[in-house]
Amino acid sequence: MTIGAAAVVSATGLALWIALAAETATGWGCLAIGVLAVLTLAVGLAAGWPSAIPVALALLGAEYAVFLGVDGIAVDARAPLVAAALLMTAELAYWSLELRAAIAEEAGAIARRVAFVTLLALLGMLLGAVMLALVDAAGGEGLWLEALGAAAALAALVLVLGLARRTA
Amino acid sequence: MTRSASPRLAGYAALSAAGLLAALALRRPELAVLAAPFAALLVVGLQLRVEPSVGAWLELDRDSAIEGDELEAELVVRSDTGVDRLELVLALPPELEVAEGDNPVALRLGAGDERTVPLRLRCARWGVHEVGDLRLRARDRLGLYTWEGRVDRRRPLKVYPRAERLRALVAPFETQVYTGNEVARVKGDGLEFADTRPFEPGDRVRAINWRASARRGELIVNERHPERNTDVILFLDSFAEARRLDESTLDLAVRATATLATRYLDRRDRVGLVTFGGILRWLMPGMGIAQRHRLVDAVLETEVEFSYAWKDVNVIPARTLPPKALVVAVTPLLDPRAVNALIDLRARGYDLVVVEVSPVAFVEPGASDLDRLAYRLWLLRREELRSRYQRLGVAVARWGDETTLDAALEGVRTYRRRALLARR
Repeated sequence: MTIGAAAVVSATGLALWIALAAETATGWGCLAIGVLAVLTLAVGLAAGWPSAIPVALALLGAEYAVFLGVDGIAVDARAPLVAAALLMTAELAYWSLELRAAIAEEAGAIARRVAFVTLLALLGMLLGAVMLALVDAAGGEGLWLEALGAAAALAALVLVLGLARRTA
Repeated sequence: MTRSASPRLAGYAALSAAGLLAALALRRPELAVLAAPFAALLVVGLQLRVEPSVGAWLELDRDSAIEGDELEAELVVRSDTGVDRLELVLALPPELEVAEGDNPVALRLGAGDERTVPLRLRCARWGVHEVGDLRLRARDRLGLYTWEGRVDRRRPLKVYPRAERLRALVAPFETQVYTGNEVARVKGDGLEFADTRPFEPGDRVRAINWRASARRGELIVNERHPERNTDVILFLDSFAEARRLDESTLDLAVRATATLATRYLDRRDRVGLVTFGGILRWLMPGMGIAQRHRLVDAVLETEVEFSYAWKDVNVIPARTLPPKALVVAVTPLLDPRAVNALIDLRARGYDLVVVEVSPVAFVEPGASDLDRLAYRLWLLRREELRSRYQRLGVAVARWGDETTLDAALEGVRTYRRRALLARR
């Protein structure tokens, strides 16, 4: 219950932050998507539907995309923070679903897990920062750079899906 | 162990794909940044995945217990590979409860670690219970996969029924030829004084009652009652039961049967068993410790087996019911097959006692007038049935919530004393 509430609070915080950071006109749209995301997450956790979690996270991502697209910021340096918050929300949400089964935990298990989730979020933020730094270092625009980015993204997709398929 | 992907794997893969595609479509590197941690977590998790090797077993401090006892148990679990999170549950039959300890429990095991989870199990109901069915679920470090397995090392745990307090037993009208603790009604060599009579050639000198001889002016000898054993057949009716929550008439009947068997065997009587129900079981009369174990084990197997087949005493092997045996029927008097079988036994001349395990406390009268009327009619029918038995000379002991088994049997003893006087 507590962990589920923490996941919802984390999602709410992220949704509000993006909505407040946006300009007034965009803010309401962002807020609407954010509210929908938080509701999806809350209902999913209450009902025990794991498939609601990626939907809620995708909605939060969509809220951020709307914020980026409409406000037309060059490169948002807060993206690693958003990534870390999304990862933390996801980890907390899945953890709360695991805790629905009444299983006695051994001493220290909760603290260990909290530390692990925090570490994951920090590593996620670090990875995002490195990626942004690379984007910044590459600088400018160009066909070759876009093609390289698309190839990298597609390669990452193929890698992830291939691994998941091979090991499933 | 059977591997399956956790919902996290599909969710993170979908988020990674969606983020990267959105980054391409919208030309926003920030969206790739959002997807990157999920994708990285998947890649690392899938590369580090190791199938766990886990062994688990249950240790019990003993193989048998009495109903209501608490047992010390230990769940021992060992892993060669290490498991980040191992969920362990001991699947227990409903007759066993966890009195103390954690079940299920989640553990973290390092490579080569062995852990012990102490449990205290309470035996809520008699019976032969299979214990040792362990279910395991292991997760990898990043929670992308789960492995589920089952360790089935079940072994029987015998839970004997709790004994009822009993001060005295019902004595049979007739005894057998072997030495026992029951004072026979016939005269012969024994300890209990029976009567005096004039001396006859062949009488032992030690039997002469010198005081009586002096008064009467002729030799008078004492007659005594010999101590003999008896044959007791316990007739357990398992056709039907009345049940409420965690107790039933069968539970009480089994408890009474086990108590009576133990007490009669203590008196050196030969005790047999007939379980008369959907499945007929019997045990030839015998005596001694071995027979006690056989009897209690046979009683433990008793369950109500639903059957429409009509059964009467003809299906009981003749040697199971020896002549002059006392038949103690423990029954809720719910099934007409058992009711008629007992009447049939009486008609065949068996010395019969009925211990009625009253189902009345297990039945609610109902809310409507019609229900209450039906309840009253049912009670009246039961009264009539008892009167029918008594008219046939069968004592009926009513054992229920209000009375103990001892008090119920005391009523039977009183009834039989009067019946004996009437017979004389």
